[in-house]
Amino acid sequence: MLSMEGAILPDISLRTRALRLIERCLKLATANGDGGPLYDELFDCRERLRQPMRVAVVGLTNAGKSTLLNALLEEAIVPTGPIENTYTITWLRHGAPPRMTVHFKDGRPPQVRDTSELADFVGWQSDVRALDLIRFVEVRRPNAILSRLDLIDTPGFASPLVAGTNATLSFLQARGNELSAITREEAMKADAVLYLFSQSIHTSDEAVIEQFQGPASGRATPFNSIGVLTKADVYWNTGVDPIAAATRITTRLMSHPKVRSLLYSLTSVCGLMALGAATLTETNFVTLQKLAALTDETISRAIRSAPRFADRPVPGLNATAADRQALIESLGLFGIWMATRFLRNGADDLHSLTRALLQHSGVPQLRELLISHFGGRADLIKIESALHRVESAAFREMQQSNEPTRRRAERIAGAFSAFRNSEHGFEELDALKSYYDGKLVLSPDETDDLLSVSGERGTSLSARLGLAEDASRVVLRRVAAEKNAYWYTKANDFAPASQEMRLATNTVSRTYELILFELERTPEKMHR
Amino acid sequence: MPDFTRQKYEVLQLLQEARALARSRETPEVEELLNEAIERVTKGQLFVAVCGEFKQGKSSLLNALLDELALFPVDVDVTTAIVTTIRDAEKETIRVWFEDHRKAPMIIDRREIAKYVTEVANPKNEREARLLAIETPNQHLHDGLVLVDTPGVGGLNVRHSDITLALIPNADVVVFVSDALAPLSQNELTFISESILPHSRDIIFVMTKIDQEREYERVIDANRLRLAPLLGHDPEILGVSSRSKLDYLVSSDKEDLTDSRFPEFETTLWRVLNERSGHLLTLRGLTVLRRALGQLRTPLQAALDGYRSTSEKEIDDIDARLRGALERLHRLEEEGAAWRTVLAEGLDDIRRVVLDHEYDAGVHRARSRIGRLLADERYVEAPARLVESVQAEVVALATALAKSTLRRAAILQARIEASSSVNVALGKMDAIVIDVEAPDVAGIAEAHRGLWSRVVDVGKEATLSGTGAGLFGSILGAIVGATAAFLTGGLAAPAIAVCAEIGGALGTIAGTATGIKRGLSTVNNEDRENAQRTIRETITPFLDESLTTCRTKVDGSFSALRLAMIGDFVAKLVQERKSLERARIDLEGARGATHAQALHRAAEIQGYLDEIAQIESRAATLAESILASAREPSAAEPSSEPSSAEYGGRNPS
Repeated sequence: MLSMEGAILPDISLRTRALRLIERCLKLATANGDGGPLYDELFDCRERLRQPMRVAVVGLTNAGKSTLLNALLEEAIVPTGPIENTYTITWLRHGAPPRMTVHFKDGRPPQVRDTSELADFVGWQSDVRALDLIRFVEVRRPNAILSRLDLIDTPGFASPLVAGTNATLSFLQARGNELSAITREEAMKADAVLYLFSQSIHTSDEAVIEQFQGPASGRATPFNSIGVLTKADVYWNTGVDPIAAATRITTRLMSHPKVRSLLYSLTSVCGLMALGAATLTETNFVTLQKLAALTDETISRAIRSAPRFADRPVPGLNATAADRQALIESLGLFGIWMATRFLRNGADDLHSLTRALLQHSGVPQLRELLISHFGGRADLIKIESALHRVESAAFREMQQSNEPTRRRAERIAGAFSAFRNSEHGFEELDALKSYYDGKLVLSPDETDDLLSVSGERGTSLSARLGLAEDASRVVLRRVAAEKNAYWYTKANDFAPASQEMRLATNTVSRTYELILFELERTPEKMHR
Repeated sequence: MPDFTRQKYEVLQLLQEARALARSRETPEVEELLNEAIERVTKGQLFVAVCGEFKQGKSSLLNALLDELALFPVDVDVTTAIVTTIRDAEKETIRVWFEDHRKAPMIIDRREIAKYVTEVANPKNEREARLLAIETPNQHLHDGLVLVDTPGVGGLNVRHSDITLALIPNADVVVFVSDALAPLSQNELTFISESILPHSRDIIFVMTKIDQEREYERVIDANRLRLAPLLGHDPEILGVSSRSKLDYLVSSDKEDLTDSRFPEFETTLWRVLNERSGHLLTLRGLTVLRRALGQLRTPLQAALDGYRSTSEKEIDDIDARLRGALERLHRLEEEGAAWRTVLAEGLDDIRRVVLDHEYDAGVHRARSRIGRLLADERYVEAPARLVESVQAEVVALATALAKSTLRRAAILQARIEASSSVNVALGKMDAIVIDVEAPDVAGIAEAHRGLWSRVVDVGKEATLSGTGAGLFGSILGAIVGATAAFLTGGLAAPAIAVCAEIGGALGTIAGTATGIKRGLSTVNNEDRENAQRTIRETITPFLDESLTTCRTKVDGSFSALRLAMIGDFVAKLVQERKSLERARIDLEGARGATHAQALHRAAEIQGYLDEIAQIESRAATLAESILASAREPSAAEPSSEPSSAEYGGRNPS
């Protein structure tokens, strides 16, 4: 698979070039020995570029944030439960050995604690006053996904208007409001955001959209936000396939122009089932096997109700109440049902059952999406936001009367704008933004071209051409040439109604040109 | 059997016995009076408002409550916000009412319900349905239960919030539905504290989907912890499983029924309904019964006295008194009768109290409350909530003023009837009354006098408006633009007069609110100070205008109220007159009777009178037990927050 970044800059990556640019500017900024805001901004950008992508998980209370986070990590790290339980921000980062650092608001030095104590620092059963002093909790785990992305668990957004007089409640409410503010801040700082919502879709789409654009909307664009409908398993009722039901909901929501302008994609998952599958024990497996041996009627009847399954013996099932309770807690009713289906259909060991359940939960697909979308484009997204910040900091500095400072800022701004102009990727981002802002008038086929070629559906050459990964070089070249011709004509013959249209059509045509160039330039074998 | 059902059955039994007696005495006017009472008790309605965030949970809950597998479509996806009412009828009729008032309601089949309430079939309510009214034979609704499913809380259901807001303060019971998947959200708590608690304390908290969460008890505990500070007491929360109840309908397995916990839910529902307003329906039946028995007794008593008299002279005396009473009645029916002035002046007084004192106090409260909200910076992010708060305040004020007007009017009517009563002592026939509510009725033991005045006191609230909730039906009717009697079971004409005006006012205000919400949604809240000023400059005139509309409409309802009350009183006078005319005819029969004939007739009449006395005494016993099982009719007890509901509930004396 070949990526455009490689095509445009064969020797060093965009990220490295951006880092070099920043290094150069940092030197410039300190040439006279003083730092200043522009220096701070550059320094901060460099740090951000060096670190993994930061993804904040946000949503209303009880949207299933912590459960999904654990499911993505495939281990139960952050505490979960039927009552909302997250009152602190947890920043999950890669690191070994596992450790937890508590950061305080009052400037006290951070405390290193055992990760097993996490529940005491985020849940509200713990000492509520102590919670108030915590700014965030940092957890390091040697977890594969964390090597690609930092994940940030946030408390649910509190509704802005609440009545409460009870002392604990008002404390929690005040804390909730404060946390909303902190969460908002975190989401602003994060490079990408996962918006979670559960079936608490109210009565209208507008209410759902409000959830996406409301509290954390700071810098949300379709580039850096993904919506997730969690708890899809609750739709499991009267024979409905909950996954299909959830997909129906997300598809309908995604057809909403407002939603499209806010989210890159909207997907659904069964977080609980995924987490349960990932952490399934041998004992759980044995109980499930015994259950799967019973008749369908007995199984359905037993799992019609969670309290019934947990508290009353199932006829013909030789399992203790503790066994049954453990199953309900880890997999939920739908998870148990699916497990018995997979066991009947050939999943004969714990590993294959886990895999089947995970695959069905939608979580691995979400993880893939996260890594390919955020991970793959991470640099472009991060550099884009870094450019913005540095440019505006430079602009502010250029207003100063101090001659050396102004000249220095001008040079830095000049370097950045040259960098921006040399990088075709940014033009693609601009074209996409115009599209998402609804400023382009395109036919469905043209829309398809724009989204594919600018990497919205994958950054390999074939994905950009809208072709299968195994398409031959001949086909790739033919399609690239055809599309280039089409868009070139559109950009030049057609007098576009707007500046945005002119820029976008030119960009698309130019991208096809670059792809063609790349196909000519690189050796045959690299494309197969 | 719930208390209410049993008591209602017994009241109907007594009314039917009295009707049989009236029939055998060939008194069609009394028979008619009793027929009406039977119909009112039979059709008397109790309104249950079902509120909650999750439409899905509510639809399943209603299906499960009604033993219907799929009356309400249950879909995983969102459903359209539309108010739905369900009540009992002999045959099923389902009507859809539309946004456009001029469009006639459409009759649909139950399979077509989905076409109106699901987002898939009716996206964004493009069919512009406003209300779905289902009448269907259902044993759970036999006792006059009317379930009203309201659109979800919060959200942006601009168009229907007017109906929900009008409903809640007037429902007999509010059932608040949440589910076991999550504890009550702050959205829900806000809805409870801002939209329900100021108007009604009769809330049943139901938590559905207990089948989905093994630890549902923990969720109940968490909800109790959240509700207690709002309610000032630890509430009872009923966990139920609609799924288990629906399973039971298919499986007939008792385990499913037990697990569903629906039997407990129904028991609670009926207990609260009975405490709140069920007793008003039954007591009202009993007061009409007493009046009918009085009208039956008057001629019998006259005839008995006649047969027992020793001379023509005595009969002449009795007749003279009857004639005297009749003359008074005639004079009362005349245009220039003093009571008409009393009524007009009384209504003027009521108008002053309601429109000056109560309205002013209400305006003060609404303004200071909205003012507080306007000062709260957090509302900058939710200006639509402010519009809803204004609507809620105005609706609460309008309905409180309507209730107060009707309650005061009922008391005025009772006074006029008492002061105009033809209460002439006629020897042994010690009472001829035109007002059943006057305590001195022969044959009723002294001890019972206090009882009946309590019955009358308790029933006063209901005299003109059916039950407290009877108002709602006609307000709803007025809002959807139907005839005012829509949905109401025998609402008295004066109540209809007032409700039609109120409904109109609420419709007007809702229309304005929609536009204002749209306008405010574009306010840029980046610059908070500026945004707050813009919001204030929009909300304040909206509040003032809505309050003025409310006052104008309540004021405008007084002339219709006066005419309706006059009509009502004249109808009573005519009934009394007929009773007295019959007494004169019966008395004539006593003239020239032989001693033996007289003895025989007297014994026969005595038999009737004994029967009347017997029914009356059973009615007294029943009234006693109904009063004992009922709570005093109270509007919402004032919470720490001064609420608009306080304007009601006070007697003028």
